[in-house]
Amino acid sequence: MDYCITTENLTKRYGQEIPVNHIHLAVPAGAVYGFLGPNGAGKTTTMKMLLGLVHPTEGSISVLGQNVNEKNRLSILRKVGSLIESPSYYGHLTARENLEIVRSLRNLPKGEIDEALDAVRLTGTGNKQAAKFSLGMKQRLGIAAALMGRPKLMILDEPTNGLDPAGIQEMRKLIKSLPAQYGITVMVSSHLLSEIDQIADYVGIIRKGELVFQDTLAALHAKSNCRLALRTSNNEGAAALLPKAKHAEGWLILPQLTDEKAAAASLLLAQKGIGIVRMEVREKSLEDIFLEMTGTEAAL
Amino acid sequence: MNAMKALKLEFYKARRKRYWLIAAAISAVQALWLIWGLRNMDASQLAQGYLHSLYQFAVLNSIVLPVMTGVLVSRMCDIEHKGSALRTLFTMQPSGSLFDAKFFCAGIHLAAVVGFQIATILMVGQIKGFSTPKPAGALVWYFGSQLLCSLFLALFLQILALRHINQFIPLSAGLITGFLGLMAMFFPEGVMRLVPSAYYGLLSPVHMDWNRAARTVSYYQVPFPIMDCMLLTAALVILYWFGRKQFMKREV
Ligand SMILES: Nc1ncnc2c1ncn2[C@@H]1O[C@H](COP(=O)(O)OP(=O)(O)O)[C@@H](O)[C@H]1O
Ligand SMILES: [Mg+2]
Repeated sequence: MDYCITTENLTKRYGQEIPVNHIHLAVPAGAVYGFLGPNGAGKTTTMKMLLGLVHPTEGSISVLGQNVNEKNRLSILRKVGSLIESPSYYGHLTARENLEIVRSLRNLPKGEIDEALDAVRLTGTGNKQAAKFSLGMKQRLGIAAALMGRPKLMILDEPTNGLDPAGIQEMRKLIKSLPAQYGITVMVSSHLLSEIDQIADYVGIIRKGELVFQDTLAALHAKSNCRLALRTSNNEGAAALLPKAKHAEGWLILPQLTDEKAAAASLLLAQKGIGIVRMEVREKSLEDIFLEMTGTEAAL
Repeated sequence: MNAMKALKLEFYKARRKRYWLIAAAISAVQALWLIWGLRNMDASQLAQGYLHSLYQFAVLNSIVLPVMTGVLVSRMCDIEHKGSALRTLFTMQPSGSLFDAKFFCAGIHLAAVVGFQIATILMVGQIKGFSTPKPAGALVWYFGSQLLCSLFLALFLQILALRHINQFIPLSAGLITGFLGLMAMFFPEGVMRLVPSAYYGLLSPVHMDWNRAARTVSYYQVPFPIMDCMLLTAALVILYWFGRKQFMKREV
């Protein structure tokens, strides 16, 4: 597979604290990679390291196929748009002037400014000072700046934070559309499981600086496996016959079974004269999985 | 990154910030001060007009320019803090390039202020009829020395203004340095050399003699204070090297 970002042993230490601890990221090209973790898990620190805004204590970073070092950092970042934490802008300059700075620094043609404003629907307010923008507009201006020069990769840190519900929906739609519409790979962080579930194709889950899961969203969903829960006329006897089953409040929870094994189990119980009284399917929710992996209640 | 482009960008970012207004206001006040001081001088005093003006301006600078530089530099750096602009900027521009461009931009404003002072002296000399020929050497020397002091202060205050989001810190540092400039002449020689704003006077081409008995003031040109000049230049170079390095290590 083609990766836009990979890291090896990426680590950041602040004194005793290790906000990012030997992380091996792998962000596949051409999709949305959701970087999920509770507040304080190390998402921002990781993304800042990818952009060279924070210096790693240890480990290496490769972006767009090149190993990043202090010499080539800015030339690689010419193809990377970013939005980290709160919006970043010059308040006394208009939206257009803010983008002019980006244009000038990246040697882009004049037309890019209008295109970028258009993409985030700020065309009508291009000549207003950014300080007078609402948070949502500032955030959109940040996206416009990130879009300048048609990046191959966008690194977005909690871009929906602080937006109103309509703004959130709009931002999510925009992010989801980036790979198909502009061919941009997106790495987007969030502390909201439901958000990542909505927009991402791949998921990395970070907990206290450690990457505890990294795979496709589908693989995460697959973890929410179905299990059979039984109540029988003789739970003790049934448990003796099915040693892998677990007791839970008068129920027997079977491990995940193939159809054949499930059939064999029910026949076995019938042969031994144990009747099945109740039967249900238990499915772990994504929230349960998130809770297991991060030790934190999923925020929705 | 191209230094010229970075400097242009600094001026672009200065839009609506009117840094020059502070510089212009200070220059105007200094010009009025000079004209006021010359208002009832007789011919013998006017013969010393150029030296008088150069001396007066250097003293005034040691008090006023640190404060003005503090205001100028903190305004220039504050635009980066407000709206956390550095987080995006540093993905496009090397931090060292920004540091240099800001310093250059401040330097250009300060050069304009000192240049305006010289223009004021020449103009007032013309109007008031200073009888001696224009002391070209002293004027050039004055320009260089006053600019050197101002650059040192600008650099010192810029390091503070970039390091701290709270601009009260560089602003009060400017005020304190200005106050020390006022007090410096009462300090012992050795201590005086530790006060950056004292160098406006130390490096000035003109010194003053106050004759207590006759109650007269006379000005005289001094030999070039090569040691003091080298001391300040060395301090400037070290501060630049150190401050720039620290800034480049900064995480945003
Ligand atoms: N400059 C810093 N100095 C010390 N600790 C820091 C610094 N920046 C971040 N941290 C710590 O690193 C941890 C992770 O922070 P962060 O990356 O912002 O998490 P997230 O973005 O996932 O909420 C936090 O505990 C925070 O206190
Ligand atoms: Mg964060």
